Amino acid sequence: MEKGNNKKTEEFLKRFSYKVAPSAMKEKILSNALRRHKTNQVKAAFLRKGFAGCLLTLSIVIAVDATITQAQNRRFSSFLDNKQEAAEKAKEEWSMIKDIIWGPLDSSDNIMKKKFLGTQKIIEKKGRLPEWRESLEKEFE
Amino acid sequence: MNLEELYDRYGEKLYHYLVLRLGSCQDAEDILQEVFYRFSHYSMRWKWIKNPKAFAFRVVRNEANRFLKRKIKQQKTMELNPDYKNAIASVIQGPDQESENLLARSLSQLPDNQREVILLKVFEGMTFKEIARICRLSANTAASRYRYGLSKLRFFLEEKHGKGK
Repeated sequence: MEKGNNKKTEEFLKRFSYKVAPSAMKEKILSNALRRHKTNQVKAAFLRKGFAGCLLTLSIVIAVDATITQAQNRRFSSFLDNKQEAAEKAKEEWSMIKDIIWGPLDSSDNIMKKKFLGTQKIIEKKGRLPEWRESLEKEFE
Repeated sequence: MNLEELYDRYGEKLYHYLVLRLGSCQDAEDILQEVFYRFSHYSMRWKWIKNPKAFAFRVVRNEANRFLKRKIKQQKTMELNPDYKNAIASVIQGPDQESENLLARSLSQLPDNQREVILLKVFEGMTFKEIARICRLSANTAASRYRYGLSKLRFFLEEKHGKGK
């Protein structure tokens, strides 16, 4: 490869130049590129909004679910506590009533026993001794 | 840098490069459109690009390579567009019609990589360093491709018409 010959070829090539590109092409290319860009932007914005919407819905669902679960747990635990308390209270009351009813009386007195057993429900309902019982107790005293 | 400014600076150069590379005005226009569509996404990035010309040429080159790959897959053989001469004649202006035809015929016979370097060096006036950056080569490889390309071109020119000296 001779350097001189390449120089001549280069000189031959330099006699050529570019023609001016058609002017309509500029508008066509730019308008098409911008149109596609705008369409893409609209699509992207739409997708972004959709994604944000999905995310929001999901977070709302999670929050609501968490709130409901928490409320349920709270209600269930309070229900259990109340039940337990009520049971304990009833037990205490019943032992108190039992003391009041059976304590001072003779346990072999079957008639009285039956009578007192029949009054259990009244006591439970009213929360106090019937009047005849109170008077009976006073007599015994 | 907005799109219009970008087109004013590099649009025509890129178009010429594409026509000479692909041998078809229509394909060149399509690819240029695709490239400008890509540029529309890069509006913020131009500030950070050191050599916008080389960057633009690299994007165009990549897009042209992609297009050629697709074409090769479709055709299964690497064939230049039969209208290559017409395409060259539509973008290059010579002293006379005969010289234009001669150059078109000779350029169409060059291997693609050598033709590319010659086009960038002679018609775009780029340095080997810039060409190397665009084509992802070393500057020495670009220079040797240019030398080999020129001697081949000279051979084709001499062989056919005894011109080019």
